[in-house]
Amino acid sequence: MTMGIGLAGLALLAVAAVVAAVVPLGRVRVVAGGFTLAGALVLLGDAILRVAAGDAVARLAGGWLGSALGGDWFGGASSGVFASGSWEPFRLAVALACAASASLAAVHALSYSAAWDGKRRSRVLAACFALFIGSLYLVVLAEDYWTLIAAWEAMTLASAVLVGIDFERPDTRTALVWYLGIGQVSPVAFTLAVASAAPSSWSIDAIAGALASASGPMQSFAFLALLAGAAAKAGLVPLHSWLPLAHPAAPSHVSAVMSGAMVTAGLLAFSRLAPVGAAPAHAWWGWVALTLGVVSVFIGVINALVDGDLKRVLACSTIENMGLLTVELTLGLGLLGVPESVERLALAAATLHVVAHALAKTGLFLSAGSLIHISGTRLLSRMGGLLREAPVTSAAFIFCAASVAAIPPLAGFAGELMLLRALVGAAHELTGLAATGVALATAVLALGGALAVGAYARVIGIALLGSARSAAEDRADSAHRHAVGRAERIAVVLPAIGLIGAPVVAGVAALADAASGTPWGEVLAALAELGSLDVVLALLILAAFTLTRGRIARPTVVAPWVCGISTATSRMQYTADSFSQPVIRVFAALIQPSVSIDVDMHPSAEHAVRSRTYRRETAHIIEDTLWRPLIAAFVRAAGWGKRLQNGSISAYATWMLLGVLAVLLAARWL
Amino acid sequence: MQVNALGIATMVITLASAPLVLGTAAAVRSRAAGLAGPSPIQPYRQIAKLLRKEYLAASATSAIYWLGPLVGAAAVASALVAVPAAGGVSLPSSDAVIIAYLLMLATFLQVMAALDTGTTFGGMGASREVMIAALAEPGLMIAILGLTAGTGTTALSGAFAVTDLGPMALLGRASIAMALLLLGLAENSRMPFDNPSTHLELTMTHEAMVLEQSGPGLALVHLQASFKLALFWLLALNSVAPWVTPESLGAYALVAVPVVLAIAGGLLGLLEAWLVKARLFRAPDLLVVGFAMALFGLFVGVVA
Repeated sequence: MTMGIGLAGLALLAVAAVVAAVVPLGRVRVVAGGFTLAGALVLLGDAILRVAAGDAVARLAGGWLGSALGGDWFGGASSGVFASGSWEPFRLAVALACAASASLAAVHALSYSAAWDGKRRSRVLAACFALFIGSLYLVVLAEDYWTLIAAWEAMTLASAVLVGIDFERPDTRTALVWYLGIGQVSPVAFTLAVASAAPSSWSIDAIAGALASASGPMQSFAFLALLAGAAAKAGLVPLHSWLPLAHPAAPSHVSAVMSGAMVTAGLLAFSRLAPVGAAPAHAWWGWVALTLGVVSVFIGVINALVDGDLKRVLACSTIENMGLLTVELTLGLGLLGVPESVERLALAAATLHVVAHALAKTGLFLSAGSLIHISGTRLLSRMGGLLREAPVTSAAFIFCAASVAAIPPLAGFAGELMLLRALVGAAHELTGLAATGVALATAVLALGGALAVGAYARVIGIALLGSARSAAEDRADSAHRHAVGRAERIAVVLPAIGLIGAPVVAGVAALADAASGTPWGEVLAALAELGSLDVVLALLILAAFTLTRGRIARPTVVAPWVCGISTATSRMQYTADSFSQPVIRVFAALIQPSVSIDVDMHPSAEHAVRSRTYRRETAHIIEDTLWRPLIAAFVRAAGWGKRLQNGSISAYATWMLLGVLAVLLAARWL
Repeated sequence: MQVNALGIATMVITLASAPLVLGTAAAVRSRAAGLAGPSPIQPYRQIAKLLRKEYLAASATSAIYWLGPLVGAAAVASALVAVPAAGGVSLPSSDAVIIAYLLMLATFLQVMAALDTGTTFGGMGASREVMIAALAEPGLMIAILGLTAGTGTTALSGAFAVTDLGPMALLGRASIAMALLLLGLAENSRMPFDNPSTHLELTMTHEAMVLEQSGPGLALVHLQASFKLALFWLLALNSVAPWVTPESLGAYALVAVPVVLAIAGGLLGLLEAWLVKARLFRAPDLLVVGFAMALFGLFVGVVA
């Protein structure tokens, strides 16, 4: 009897989906949302139990639940979905990330999805959200390939419905096409890889074993296919294009789970299936994966610094973080041939990064959703001063942002610290060209880290600080205007507390020497280091505070000085576009900015300007150079294909004849 | 974590003597230009005066406005005392990566505090600071790699444990020290990246960010600037002379650090009297030079 309590959570989520379809329309949000939350919390319990005591406790609880339910319902599943076996730390981390992200989003949705109340599509929203997080967790739980693929497709389809929930808007439809299009890469690529392994059974371990003993070229093919499949779901360059489109289109609690947790599922599938044991025979694998990660970091972060849409910025930051995670896994899975100590460190970085990123990114998208509802816009340049309007939500946003930007002493920095240490270790152990490659990768990652800090400082500074840019009456008209609900505040404050508190807790645990010897030793040691950094920082902050005799916390509020400009208005503040202008200028070759200024003249007076409109467009280099030509070629090929279908019976008879001949010839030669 | 009395005394002396860098720099720069110039201890008087003054905040500001200077100064101070010369090799922050990211924390807070004022100049300085800080970061990380090439750990105790450097290693270390100083000029908004004594707001970077700060907040901003400057000089010094620590110098370290910082300020003053401010968009070129020097140091260090 080896089922996990995860099954109970999945069952609750299935109930939630059914309930969403049948309860009266006015109750959908609360009743179906309640079931969804309960299911997500049970999944969180499952993940925590697995982390806390390996599989043992989860199995025990599952066994108890199974017998409580009346016996051997799922007894035949020992080699199926819920087979036990100790999970490796990365899989546990992804499970924890998915369950935590889903739980927070489910809490948030209780009040956030009120915007859809009374509409028929609120049923679809609630049902698909439950199905989405259930299938996401099933992807992590899956022990055999067909469960994995079925759950994977359910996850993609359910989330696609959620992305397209506001299908009346043209950009939503564009987003949906991109999301589904790139989403198809994963199952196709995974199935090709698995087929090339010709496994003896469909269990994932058996497939990984079969791939490990396959021939060299076959292994390389499978490796590349698996990497491509993972990249499509994780949003690695060049398969990242759906992220900045789909996240703004989806409701915020959905984007939170997609961006916080779903993207990591792709890398989990890769790490479980890929024949990493054979990596020493294929030195180039590691460099392919490393390049993929480093390029994703750079493209992601530079777009995060340039984009003017709050949710698109967060989506681009996800691309960057998945790039970092890919680098961590490249080192951690032994693709670069570094010593075991470096591998362990990099894998520890990956496990911490998955969880810290999931918490922070979920918090960011959830608080962004509330802030967008308040301000009635997603455009940074029309926000400003939101910290005053929604202090709790904004403060949570700031802490989550600081964690994603790897600002010490928040938990997110511990991942970055371990990654950089692993890279330093790798550069030390490797020689020649390999060491140079690692050093250059480190330099790009450092640039990416600093640009990420700039990108988040920009979002916070423009959207949350300063004073409001659009007039107050402008906002009152907004259709979506509502106050931030209590559930929304709880959902964003929890991850912020977790990210601040984790180093403190780990520091205390280290004092008690509770963590040594567990598979989490390295993670907890890095967090504990930040805990002791907290102490040093707190002492010095106290010293500085004392130096000013506490007066620094009590400034007298006056009009801004602005070098003596007495008529400073909120419109004179820097905007999101002006803030990123210097960086755009430096990286102009990559971003290719084009500026247009429309001047609207008064019709009766020659020189009277009524308004000026400044517009800056930036090129998306991957989309422009790779995808648009590909799509154009595909459309052209489809045009040729259409000529076959010309409605003439004699033409069809000819095609059939040619087809039969081709089969006969093929049979003759094969 | 073992910190002895001498180590703590050196840390306190380092923090206290950091404003000397700003003082001697201004004094030497003026003398070199044929002006009478301020006294080397002018920054102390300035900070003492500012600490007594009232703290004013623009109407749009929030708590970020005062948390910026407060936490920023503490972050840079914790990075400064972690340098071996300052006696802090056993502190949790005595790690090259942690020091780099503590500076990032200070920059993050400073940029947010500047945008919090809701003024044009705050945004202008912040946006330029982000560009320069971002471009300086790769060089800084390569310098860290170069310093740690021999040991493979990022802890400064390891990086600076090798006290007898061979000629090749010394060449590598010297190149890294030069790179650190050049990147330090950028990170500290000194010439040729920024003119700290300018009165023209449109050309400012760092000063534009803190235009609205006043009184105790501005005092902490000045302290933070002096800590950061001292940090880069002491790191560069330790790169070529890892033996400048309280462990090997004993009580002399208490005198050595202020003397070193005063001399560093003097060199900086001479440099600033000699250089002119470059255009803002020349900064990337200079930072690439810093990056190349760090990379050269890394390669030489690895070969040695």
